[in-house]
Amino acid sequence: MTMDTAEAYARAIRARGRTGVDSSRLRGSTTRQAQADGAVVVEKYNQPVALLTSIELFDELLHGVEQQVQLQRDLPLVAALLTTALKLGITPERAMRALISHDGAGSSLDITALAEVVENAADDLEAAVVARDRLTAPESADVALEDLAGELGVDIEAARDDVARGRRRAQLST
Amino acid sequence: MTDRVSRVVLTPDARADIHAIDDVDVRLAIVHALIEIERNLAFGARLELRDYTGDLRECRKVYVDKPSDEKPRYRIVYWCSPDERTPRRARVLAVGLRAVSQVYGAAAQRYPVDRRAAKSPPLESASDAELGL
Repeated sequence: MTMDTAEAYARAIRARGRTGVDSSRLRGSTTRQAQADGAVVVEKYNQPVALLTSIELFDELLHGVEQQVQLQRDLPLVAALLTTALKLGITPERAMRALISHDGAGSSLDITALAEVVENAADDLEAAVVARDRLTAPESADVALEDLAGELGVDIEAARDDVARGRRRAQLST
Repeated sequence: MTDRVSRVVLTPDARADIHAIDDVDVRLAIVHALIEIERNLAFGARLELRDYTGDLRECRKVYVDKPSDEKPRYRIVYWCSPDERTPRRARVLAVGLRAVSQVYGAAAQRYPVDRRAAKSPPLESASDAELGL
């Protein structure tokens, strides 16, 4: 929940706690009051029947509702990802650091970040299996990078020069 | 053979991995990645130490692809020898597609959608056996 949304809730709740304006007395001043206060409760026969809100307050309330709906939709996926994370040996602290995103407005769930941590762990798992299997190969059969480049038709010295000069023709990440 | 060249060597399997890649641009990208490793043996990220990775702390990985805006699809796994503290050589063990590299979107809700689009079930629905556990 953002601070704006929290404030919007608070203003709406405060409006509900005040004496409302009877529907028969709605005037232009009521609209101005709604704009100033954020919300005005409209009553009929002393019963609250409607809420006249400023557009800003309404937008924030709507935003808050959307966030709640998204959160409810995401929770099953979050639970499943956390389970997988634990299976893969990711510590709960690490998983939660990825999942909970903090910014000036508050905290939110970052499912993509958690999914990335889980996928990296799964990738490490496969890399470890392959590495362990291939480490046993005799080093006498290894080939040098220069030989490989020759087989691929790549001028290794030109490629080294390109990399040294920042003309790398590769997208890399670690 | 110069010392410089010998800083990166490949096992026969890793060499075969690269020859099996049809895309010439990807092959060149891999050579450039190997040159980066040659320039800095600690270029790749170490495999994270967990129960299943065991004693593979000298193993590092680099993700590589031809230039694009997408996440790199290929993974190079190499071993720093004789040890991580004083590495003198990178021994490339494997080059291949990432196990789970299907691109997931920036939006959280796209994550399972993208995996399904790539005919990969969401990781969280994988069994222990499918995860290799």
